[in-house]
Amino acid sequence: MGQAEVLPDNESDRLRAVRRYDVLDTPPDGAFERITRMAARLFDVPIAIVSIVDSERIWFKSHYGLDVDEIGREPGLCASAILQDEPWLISDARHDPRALSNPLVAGEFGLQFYAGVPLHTHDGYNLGTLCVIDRQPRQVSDGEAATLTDLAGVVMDELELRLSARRSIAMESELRRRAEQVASTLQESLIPPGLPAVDGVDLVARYHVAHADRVGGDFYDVVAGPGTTGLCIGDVCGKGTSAAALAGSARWTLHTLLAEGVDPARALSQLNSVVATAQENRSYLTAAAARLRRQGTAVEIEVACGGHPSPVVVHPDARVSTLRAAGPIVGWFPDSQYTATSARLDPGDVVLLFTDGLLEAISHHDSDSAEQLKHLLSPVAGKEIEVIADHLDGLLGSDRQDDVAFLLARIT
Amino acid sequence: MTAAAELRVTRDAGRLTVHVRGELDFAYEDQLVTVVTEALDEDRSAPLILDLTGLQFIDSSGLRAVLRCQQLAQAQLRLRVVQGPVTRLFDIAGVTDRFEYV
Repeated sequence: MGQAEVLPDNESDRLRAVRRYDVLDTPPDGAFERITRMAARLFDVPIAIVSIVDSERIWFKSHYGLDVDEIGREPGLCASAILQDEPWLISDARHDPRALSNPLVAGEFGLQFYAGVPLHTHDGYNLGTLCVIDRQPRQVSDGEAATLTDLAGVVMDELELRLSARRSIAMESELRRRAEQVASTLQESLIPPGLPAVDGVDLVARYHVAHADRVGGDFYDVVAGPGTTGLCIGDVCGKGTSAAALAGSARWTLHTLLAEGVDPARALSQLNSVVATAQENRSYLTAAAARLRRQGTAVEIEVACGGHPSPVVVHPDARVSTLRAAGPIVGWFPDSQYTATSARLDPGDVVLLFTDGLLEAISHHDSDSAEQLKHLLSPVAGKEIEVIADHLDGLLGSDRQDDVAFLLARIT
Repeated sequence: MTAAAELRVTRDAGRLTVHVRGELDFAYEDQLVTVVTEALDEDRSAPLILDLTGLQFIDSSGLRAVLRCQQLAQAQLRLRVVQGPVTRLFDIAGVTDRFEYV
């Protein structure tokens, strides 16, 4: 039996269908093992096989009673069985002209009975067969042929199920990849690409996203001007693209105002009225803005807060003080006013601006997390700001729900 | 970390009260606004009381929910609060004096 005789008309499309199910050379698998075991028992035969007809070979997804993974396509009875959609039956191969010359029949194997049902895809291709084999002649009743056809249907259902599961996993990971891409693009508008070099002030910032595919609303920025340095940090209520879009606008607005020399309290007032008017109470944000001005060896800091946790100062002698500056949330009430608090910073003092996520990460139920933070900072007082930043990073748990941003500035 | 909030509406001496218990966060923001909208549809004259005394936790989205309720109810809204998570958040957010209380 030459190979040319056993090729279906649609062979190249059929092979594409075989590839689509991605089943060739996959490891043995319980579902198919059960089906061949059941087929052998129902027919009372020693061998049952789920075969897939590949271009050059017939590969066995499951082979009950036969210790072979694949055979060449040429002598394969399965290759013949997939040429038709009906069960392919050989009751006594020694007297069947279709099988006489087949090496499995004529040779040592001594096959005498073969019943194979094609594995028929919904779009009309025969991938392979479910077949039962015996070394003795055997008759197949109509009922048995129907049973074998039903079992072949179960094999096909199993293959379809796996294909659709694989597709939904692939689709899901593609969706996640796109969401992460959008998130990271948006994220880039929330923080500066790097921090400017500022004379007399060392700066470090950290930004931790809780969910890679879900952009948050935390932002910060540093504005270096002649003799003054502007700092800002904020947190838009909510998550997702709309929160990030508002956070990006808020960051640029504050950046511009601080760069123009507007003081922190007026900067927040203006941001408040811009956001409250522009977006009509869809959301709000909290923010802290600060301005550092060199006064001899010391630095004067002015801080204004809008619904935001007050910044703290870590002194080299391990004291930790709060720059208490209270003010209403930004962008909700058009008439909100902000006032600044001033303090004197000496060389070695470190100012920490942070978002609420930091407090949330360290908080225990019912404790004052702002006080808690001060206790946690005391041991790293006087250390390099990178060390302080690492220390804060270490306080963040892995199951954070909220994003965390913080900004450290040390007076040198 | 989404724990449940429980929303319940009661009527006492003609006044509607929306009780919020548990944890008010993003997951319940829209639900609270819906409940308050429905309560307002029922009665636009008597004060509507938002009882937050049963809240163990409230976050920024929870505050936004209360602010949205205020926008809908205007002067009709009264809050009932006790010292705790709600008043702490209101203080930090600088919104304590923006509400009427009972």
